[in-house]
Amino acid sequence: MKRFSKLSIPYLIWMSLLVLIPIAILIIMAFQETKGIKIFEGKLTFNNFKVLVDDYFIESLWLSFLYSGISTVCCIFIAYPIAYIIARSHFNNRFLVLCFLVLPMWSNTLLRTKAIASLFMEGNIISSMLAKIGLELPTLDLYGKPLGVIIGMVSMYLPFMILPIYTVLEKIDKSLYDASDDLGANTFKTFWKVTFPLSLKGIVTGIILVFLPCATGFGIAEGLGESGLIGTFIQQNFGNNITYGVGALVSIVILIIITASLFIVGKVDKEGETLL
Amino acid sequence: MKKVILCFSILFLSLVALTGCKKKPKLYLLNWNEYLNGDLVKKFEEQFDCKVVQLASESNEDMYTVISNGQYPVDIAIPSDYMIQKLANEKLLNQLDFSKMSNYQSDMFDENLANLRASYFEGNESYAVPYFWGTIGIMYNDRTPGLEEVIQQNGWDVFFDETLVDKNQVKMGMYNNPRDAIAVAELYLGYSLNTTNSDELTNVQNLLVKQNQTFDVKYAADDLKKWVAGGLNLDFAIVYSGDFFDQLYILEEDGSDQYINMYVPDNTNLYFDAMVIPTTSKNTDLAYEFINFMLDTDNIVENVSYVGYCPCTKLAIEALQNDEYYADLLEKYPVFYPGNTKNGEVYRDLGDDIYRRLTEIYNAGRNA
Amino acid sequence: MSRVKKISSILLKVVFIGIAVILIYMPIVVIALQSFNGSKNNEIFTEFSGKWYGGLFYPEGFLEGNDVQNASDLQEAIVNTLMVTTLSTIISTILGVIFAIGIHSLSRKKRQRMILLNNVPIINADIVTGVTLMIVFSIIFSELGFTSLLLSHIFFCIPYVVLSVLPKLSEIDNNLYDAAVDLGCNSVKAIWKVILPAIKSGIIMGMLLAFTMSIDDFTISFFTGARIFNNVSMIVYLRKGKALSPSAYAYNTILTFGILFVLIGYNIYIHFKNNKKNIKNASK
Repeated sequence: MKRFSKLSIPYLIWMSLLVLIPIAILIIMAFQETKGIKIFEGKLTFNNFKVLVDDYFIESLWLSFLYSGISTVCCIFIAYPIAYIIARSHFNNRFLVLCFLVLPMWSNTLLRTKAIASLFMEGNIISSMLAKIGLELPTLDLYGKPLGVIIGMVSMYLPFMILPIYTVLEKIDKSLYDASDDLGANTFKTFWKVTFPLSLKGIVTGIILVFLPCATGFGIAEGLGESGLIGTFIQQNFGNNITYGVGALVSIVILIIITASLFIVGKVDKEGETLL
Repeated sequence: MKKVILCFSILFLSLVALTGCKKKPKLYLLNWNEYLNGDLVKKFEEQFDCKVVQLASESNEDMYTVISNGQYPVDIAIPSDYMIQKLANEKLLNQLDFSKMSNYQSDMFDENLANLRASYFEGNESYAVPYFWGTIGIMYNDRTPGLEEVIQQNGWDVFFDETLVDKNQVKMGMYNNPRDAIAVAELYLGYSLNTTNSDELTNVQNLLVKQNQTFDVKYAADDLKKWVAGGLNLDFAIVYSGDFFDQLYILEEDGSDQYINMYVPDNTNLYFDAMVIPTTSKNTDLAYEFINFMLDTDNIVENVSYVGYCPCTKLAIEALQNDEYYADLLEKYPVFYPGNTKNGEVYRDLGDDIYRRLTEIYNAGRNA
Repeated sequence: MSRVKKISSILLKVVFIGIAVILIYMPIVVIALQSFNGSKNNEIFTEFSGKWYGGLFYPEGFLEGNDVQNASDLQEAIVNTLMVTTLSTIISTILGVIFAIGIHSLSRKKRQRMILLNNVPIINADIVTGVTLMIVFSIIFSELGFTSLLLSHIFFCIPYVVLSVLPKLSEIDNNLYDAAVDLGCNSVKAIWKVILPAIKSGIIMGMLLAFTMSIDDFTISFFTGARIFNNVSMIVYLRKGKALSPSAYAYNTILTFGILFVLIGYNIYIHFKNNKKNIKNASK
């Protein structure tokens, strides 16, 4: 099959054009004071680098990692048992499981975020419906509160954690369990010695798929009333025409962090088998 | 076989691309959301056999980005006062030729607005034709008893003064854009809305931080008016006057008995949005036709029924006064007419450095 | 004793699945409730109404006043979204499979590098991808619009297809292709007849993911042309007040619950059909 290797050349060109060149442009921009995207008319400056020692920037970077770290851990603890239950059950319609996890994502993210946000306030559609029949629910006053943001993130990204873990668990040969049983291991021991190590790949993939978008996205946290995260910061800088340089620099910082995590994935999973 | 599929998809693609660019001329309109009656767009399209492509925008800064980046051939934009000033200063706007607009007369605008416009642009009015004007104010409901009197007696103080309202009880809303959020603090402190004094700005920052730490403050955009009108999630919020009427119309439509009202203190921000033709325009003649179309009194009145802001021309305001519904509305809610404000101040373009500083202040306050 | 154990294990399973279903589906249930609300203010339930569903398909017949215009704007956006999503899914699936076959036949080292490059759009921050694409596209195109939007969607969809197809490719026996060629197939035919059927499940998975990412994308679209070529996310983002037709809620409800119910129904139908067959076979 070697002769098909030529087929990857257009992809290399395409990806270089749309991944590497923009990164080069971002780097140029980081050293400039530009009017928007007009990098050919920009002035050379190092002022943008002040942002790296800016308290607000550091704090929002730290806050982003904190929020998304907690959310990721919550996701693992909820997703693993579920993936395990589905994978070990007799229900083996993989396509249906997939659809069950993927279909909610077809609904608009912004509307879903708003829906969650509304549940965290006194006035929402459910309380209003219940009020019609004379019932009253206690208010979850979580809008803008850390707990609310974390619940929202978990709710949005849980499928991204279940999916890879389920994929690896399902691939595990069922006869391994029997062998372990035969050798006298109890259920817990089988899990700890056989299942868990084999599913580590899935967990790492899940962490990447949940942690990074949680940390760098802006829509969800913003919709839930938390605007002090790094995603919002980048968005603010690209949202007006005078701070593109700062936006570019922060993007590069994010890119470096992401590349580092790519290397971690590369160490665990050389063939990219389980990223999905 | 795969090649066949590929060919077909390319064919389909080019077909789509072709049907995408029909022969009708296109007018690219960069506008705020919910700021133009859709029926008028249809009417204009029929009258001039063209297609109006609306590019929606959410802030003046965003409009500036779109125009100055030049990725879209914007024919008409409707930014606010200070952004027009900035765009004109940076030579991003075409000077208007008023003779191309038959509906335009130099004395057609409401006197208060005309004075404002003249003093604002100082003989440089030829870049923009006013579209709507309004003020910012405090929109409130009756969730907390007695709040109405407090707001009407104390104005902007309710946002900051713990002695006026119970900090565990009230929920207040602030606009999530730097300029308007900071304006509230400046109005409370009695500073100019265009202050660049660094001590004053530091005070503003401290005030906003303290406000967020003391009270239950929600920063949002268009959600604010919804939350106040919903009657449960907010007690009062800073809103644009047009937004208040917008929500009032929806409540009327629903037949809801929720009470909402708006109070505009004497010191406030006064603004007008105006139609400009950026230099990116490729279809300038059609752009003139559009401005002309939007100066027609009937069209303005039709637009007001949807938008909720006060029209700019004398004739349109007269027409509203003769209309039974609006005569009633004007009497009940004097805030509809921005000319009633005694001490309104208009934003000015303060330059990039101050803008950065304002964003910093806003971030500090919002995330405190 | 074992019965207690069994019951408690079932209970535990139910609790966990319940938490997941609530977490994942809670927002969509809220959207579904809002879609049946008579008022445009989606926090206040006034009356039960199906008019927004009607407005989704035939605004003039079900809605009045400005709602008609808003709903037909939404219709246009839905058509745009579906068009971009379908096109980008088809194109990126075809290209993704071709590229995956190419990447698979590279040497080990090169392959790993390509996979690394391939992963960048998947795990990069959306906003960074969006801005960088905008920069490149504004150099290439004189104005942003449908073409740039479609290209950007294809750009971030292909990696998902490649990633889903690659593992399946490494699962198949390398001799399979050679055998097909020995038996007289040309290379295209060999891929078509032998390789593609073997990686079918990966292709379907990739397609599903590409579709999912494309239909709900907002951040990248915002920067690459959705301003002119409005899609649903753009309408939802920009129209926060009354101009957002609640038909958007109806659309999302149909998209998730509608398709889910159809799928579940179909599977139950198949299940019973098979059962019947089995019973018939057994009785014979």
